Amino acid sequence: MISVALDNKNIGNTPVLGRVAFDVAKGETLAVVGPSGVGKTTLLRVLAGLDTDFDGRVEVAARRTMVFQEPALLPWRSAIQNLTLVAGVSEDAARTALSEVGLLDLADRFPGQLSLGQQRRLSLARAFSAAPDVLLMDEPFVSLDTSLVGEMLDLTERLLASRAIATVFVTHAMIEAERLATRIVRLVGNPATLEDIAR
Amino acid sequence: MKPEAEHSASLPVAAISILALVLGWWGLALLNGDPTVLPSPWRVFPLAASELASGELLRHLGVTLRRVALAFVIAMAVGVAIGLLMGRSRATDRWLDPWLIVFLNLPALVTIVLCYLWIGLNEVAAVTAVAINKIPTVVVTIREGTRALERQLDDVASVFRMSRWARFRHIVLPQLGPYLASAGRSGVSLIWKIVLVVEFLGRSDGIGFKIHLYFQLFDVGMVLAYALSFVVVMLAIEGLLLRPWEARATRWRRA
Repeated sequence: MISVALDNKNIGNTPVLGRVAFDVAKGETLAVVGPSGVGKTTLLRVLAGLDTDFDGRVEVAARRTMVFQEPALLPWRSAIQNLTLVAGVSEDAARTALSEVGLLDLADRFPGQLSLGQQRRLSLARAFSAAPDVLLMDEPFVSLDTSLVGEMLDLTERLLASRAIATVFVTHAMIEAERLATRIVRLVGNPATLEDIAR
Repeated sequence: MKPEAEHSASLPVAAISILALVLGWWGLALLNGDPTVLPSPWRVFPLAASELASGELLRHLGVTLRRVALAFVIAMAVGVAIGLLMGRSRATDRWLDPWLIVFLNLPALVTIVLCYLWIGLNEVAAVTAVAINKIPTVVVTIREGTRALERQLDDVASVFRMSRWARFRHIVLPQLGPYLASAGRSGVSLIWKIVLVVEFLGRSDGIGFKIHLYFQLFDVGMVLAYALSFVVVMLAIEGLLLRPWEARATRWRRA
């Protein structure tokens, strides 16, 4: 599903990522931890196909979705339209996805009428509704309070368990990584490379 | 208070304010005392009514409105396209910006005269001249709006592989909404003024032509009758078409 052999990745003239190689198979979740600014988001953008200016080989299945650091919803479209129009799924599929994250009753609300936690869940529902082969998550629980993080982790764990998705999950919180990941790697150095963390 | 409620509450104020304007005009006409220089409202309104009854007013109004609509559609379409291009691409912006400044500073009269000289005294020249006058200001507004587009939503669209049309319709257009509304409203008011000049200079029908005619006859009453009828129509278009559209497009902000 994901096979990466990156030689290097620069932003401007500054090297950000060095040799980075890993594979993620169906049903696996790779957590990438590391200090902020080390290049975790850059790596994720390369995987997402948002950044194609790199040396090396990156193969990612075409059906991929992403959960961004911010909910990144369309504020001018209702919750359900955020699924049907962006993820391109049918209304039935969208309703199923909304009910999985407990937002079915709020389907017709605009994102501005939802709490931050609900917006995050909507963003999660959007990513899962498209039935992706690859899911990329960029610190999806950042800026939530502790109880909400726990709730989101439970939800994400449940959603992942019922599917066979190759997931790459970027976070700076080891606790989150340990909950969701089948394998944890740390991005360190400058330019950054991967080191395995024994589990 | 919701904006709609505010809007309806301001209606009586607007009515009283217009009434005050008419009364002020009447007062000035009384002071002046010469109806050939400044006829009172009670002379001008019956003139407009009789022109309306004879069909003359509607015929010329229709012709002028068609020119306004054509020029508006062309100016908005071309202006939005160029504005999007300049807002999205820095290279295009650098190349086209000097042209934009030239066209922004080109007097309307010059464009009109040149269009008539080069294209001929016809409809194409008239509509082209008006559109050329309006395009640069649309470009400036839309370029501003394009530069303010949320980058993260572009990323969302890319990752989720939204089609070009879906991106434009659901991501770009809603963000450009306020800019389009402002370009559209200022566009209509600028365009109809220029259309009258175009008609004044080289057309044999339309409100501008009638104003030219009565100008040569020194008939102030008829000049006012035609001018005011047209102002009323343009205000109605703004109030009945543009404002409701704007309110609908920005509904999500108030929800």
